[in-house]
Amino acid sequence: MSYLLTLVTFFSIGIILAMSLNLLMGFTGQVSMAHGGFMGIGAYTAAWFAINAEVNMVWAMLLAAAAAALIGWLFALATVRISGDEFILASFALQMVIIEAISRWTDVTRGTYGLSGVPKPELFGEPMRTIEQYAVFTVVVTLICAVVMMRMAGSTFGLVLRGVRESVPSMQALGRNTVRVKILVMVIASAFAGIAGTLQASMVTFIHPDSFTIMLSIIIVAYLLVGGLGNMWGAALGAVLLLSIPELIATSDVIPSNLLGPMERVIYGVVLMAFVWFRPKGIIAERPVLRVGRMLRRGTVTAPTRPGSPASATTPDAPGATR
Amino acid sequence: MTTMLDVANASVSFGGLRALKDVSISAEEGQVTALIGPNGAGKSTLLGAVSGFTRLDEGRVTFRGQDITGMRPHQGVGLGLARTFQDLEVMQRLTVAENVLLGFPDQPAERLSRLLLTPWVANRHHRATVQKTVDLLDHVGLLDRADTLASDLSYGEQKLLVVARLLATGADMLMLDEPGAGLPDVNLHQIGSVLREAVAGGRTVLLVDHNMDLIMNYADRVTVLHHGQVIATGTPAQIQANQAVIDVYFSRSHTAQDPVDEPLTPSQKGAPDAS
Amino acid sequence: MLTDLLLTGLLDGARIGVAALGFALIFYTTKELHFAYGAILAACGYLYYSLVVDQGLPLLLAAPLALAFGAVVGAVIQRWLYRRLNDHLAVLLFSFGMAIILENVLHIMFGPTDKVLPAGALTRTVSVAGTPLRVIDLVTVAVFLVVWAGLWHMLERQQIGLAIRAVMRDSTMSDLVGIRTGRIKVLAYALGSAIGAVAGLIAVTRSGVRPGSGFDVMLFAFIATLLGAGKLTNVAAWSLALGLFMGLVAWPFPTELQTLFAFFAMLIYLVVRSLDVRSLRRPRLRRAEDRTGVSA
Repeated sequence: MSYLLTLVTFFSIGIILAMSLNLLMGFTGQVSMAHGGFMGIGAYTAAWFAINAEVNMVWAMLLAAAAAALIGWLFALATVRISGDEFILASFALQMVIIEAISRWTDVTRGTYGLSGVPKPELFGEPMRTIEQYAVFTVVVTLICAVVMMRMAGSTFGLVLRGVRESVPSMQALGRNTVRVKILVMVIASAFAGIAGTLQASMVTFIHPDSFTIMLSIIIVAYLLVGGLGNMWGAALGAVLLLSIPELIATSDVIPSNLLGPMERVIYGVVLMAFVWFRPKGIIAERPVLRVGRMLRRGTVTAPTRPGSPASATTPDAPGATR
Repeated sequence: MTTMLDVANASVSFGGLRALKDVSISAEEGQVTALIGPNGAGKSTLLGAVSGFTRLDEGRVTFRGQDITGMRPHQGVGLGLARTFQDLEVMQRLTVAENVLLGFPDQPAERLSRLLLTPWVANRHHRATVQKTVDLLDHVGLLDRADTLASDLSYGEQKLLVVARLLATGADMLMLDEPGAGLPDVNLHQIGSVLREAVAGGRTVLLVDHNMDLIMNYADRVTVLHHGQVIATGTPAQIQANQAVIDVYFSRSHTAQDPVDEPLTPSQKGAPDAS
Repeated sequence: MLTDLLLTGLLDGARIGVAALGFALIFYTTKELHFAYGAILAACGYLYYSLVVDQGLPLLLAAPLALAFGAVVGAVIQRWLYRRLNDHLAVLLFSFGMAIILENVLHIMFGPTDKVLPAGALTRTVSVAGTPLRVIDLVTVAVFLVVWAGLWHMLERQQIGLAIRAVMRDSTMSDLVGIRTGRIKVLAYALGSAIGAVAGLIAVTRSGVRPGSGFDVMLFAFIATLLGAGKLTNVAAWSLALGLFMGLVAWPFPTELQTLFAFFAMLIYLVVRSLDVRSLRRPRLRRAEDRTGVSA
């Protein structure tokens, strides 16, 4: 039972990571290789406040989100005018530097010794003691995050993000400040990564620079690619599927335990390559936000009735709608 | 009659090539002003300068009496100016309706605060905007393609889509970059009549095009650019009779229609200024 | 003290330069973000180590083999894998996959710790103008200069360089004017990966390679490539500048902070480069609604 709850907790954290990166990468088209790093910033911020200032992890989570958002904001400000490819390189550099900073800033992070004894959150004045309580807490936090992010994705805000991905000049000509949009989405994605980092830190109680390396960043990208870039359900599905892989190979007993980590990552690599090769749109492809045909049928909107203009629209499943 | 848009003494150069030399044009309220000229004459550069995409080296742009020189591209719609692009810049992986929906400015449903704190308000506004989108799509004849991805439209339909998006902005000054180029007659007259209706509704149009059919049938005034300079201004009939224009433009209309990628090709740059 | 740091910086710069030139050649020519570059570099280092230590081959025989391995792997990846992917994002993600696999296969085969060649003639210390220097560092500087000059010569003075520069500028146009862009891209991968392999050999001789070395090397290669803005000569110059800069930073600050400073310097430079001075003087504009009294 507790094994299952542990899994649910890790799935939840993965879902937050995948969905938040999806806003940035799937929707806005900004491929970031620093998402694991932002998670690390969140984990360390929350852990530091909880350990040194005895801040309740619930509030520390907000501080973590703020810290990650701040770094995200600074980075976005600096990179907003460079091209897409250069943004990827710069975010890779950021990822490497975040880990470098965490490893070197030993006064605060204890470097490669890691921070241990990260507490669980307290609710109603009581610290959480059981995995059941913590799993429920994590799931609730994840649901809130997911609802917020899906609301963003499924609204005109999400459309604006996709518009920026498709054509910056066009969005500018339509009156959108694309620079502001790019900065905003980076800040949002970073903040959610910070929340995921906090949940992780409380869960495992011990955090180490190695937990947030470029490998993690790439694996989060793989969640999206497997599930479906630009689709929030896809992101969640991808996270759950890929997070199940280590559990499956751990139960198989074939691989010696010291090689479990590398083997697991080799499989991630193979899955990633296979999806790029055979199914680049992921399991659930991107879908339109707006379904006019359906809205017309349901009467949410009405077609103007003029002589000679047929009021019917094509079905939402017209060819190409899920191209 | 009042002047909507006034460009005074505009000059732009790109790395030594002068795309615009001391160009002055104006557009009167409620009229269709056309800007014609061979490829590389500086038409699109001028449109870019007016809409904030290209920076002027010298000169002033005035819109409804307000100096807007150096405006940033996204400020145009808020001021009442909107434009299209020669290469359309359709959002390919969005549906037709989504493309048009994004044309409506200042939607509460794209503000995060409204979206998350007062979702019912955002939803109500959103439904109203979708209704406006449906009406507009019906107006331009694309309603039955509403849920199709923009990339699956024909070229003519994409051009209509771009015009619909332009109308959605609600801007009073509509600037179109080559709406007629490469279009079959059917679509050409669709676009022409949509523009005429817009003008009848009080909008002002600035049209950059090669297409003589479109210009002669729909423009009120025409300005001819050649090598970055204005060589003639007048009614379509006057322009057709203007000897200077006939020399540089009509006699070479075949070469002018040839597809040339760069705004200034070396051959044109090096050509002696005959006029 | 300062001169020592500057000298160290210069040597670091040369080492960064070799790795960066290979990556930049590939990136500028194909515009593809070949993330597996670092992993292949590390793999070449391991191959060289294995040939020398396990097979007992002489260095001068093992080195060309390792370079050839790098070149072939690079060419094969471009020709048979990347070419079939339809966009740059797909190439990027695919190369992520390859990088992860390679790194972890190296981990499984060689273990997580550093592998370094046993001390030999190359790791001896010699005295140059009173300063003790290791032979391998001198070799690195020489190799860096040779690669730099060689690339410059190829690009600027040879027929093939003309074609490569054309592809760098505009691949589609080059295709139209009859340049075999496919071959040029394969060549860029082969040559770039071979240069990367050189960096791998230097690493395994000097301080050793770990499975994760690939990603570590790429940090500076990326920074130099970004700063180089499309010109290989700039990449080489920026690599040296980066090395010197980090040497200078190490003077007043702890050496641990070098990387951080280099990164921030890059960000600041990128911001300054993209800043348009004239954009600072913008008019304040009234919106249409303000004018007409209608509010949104």
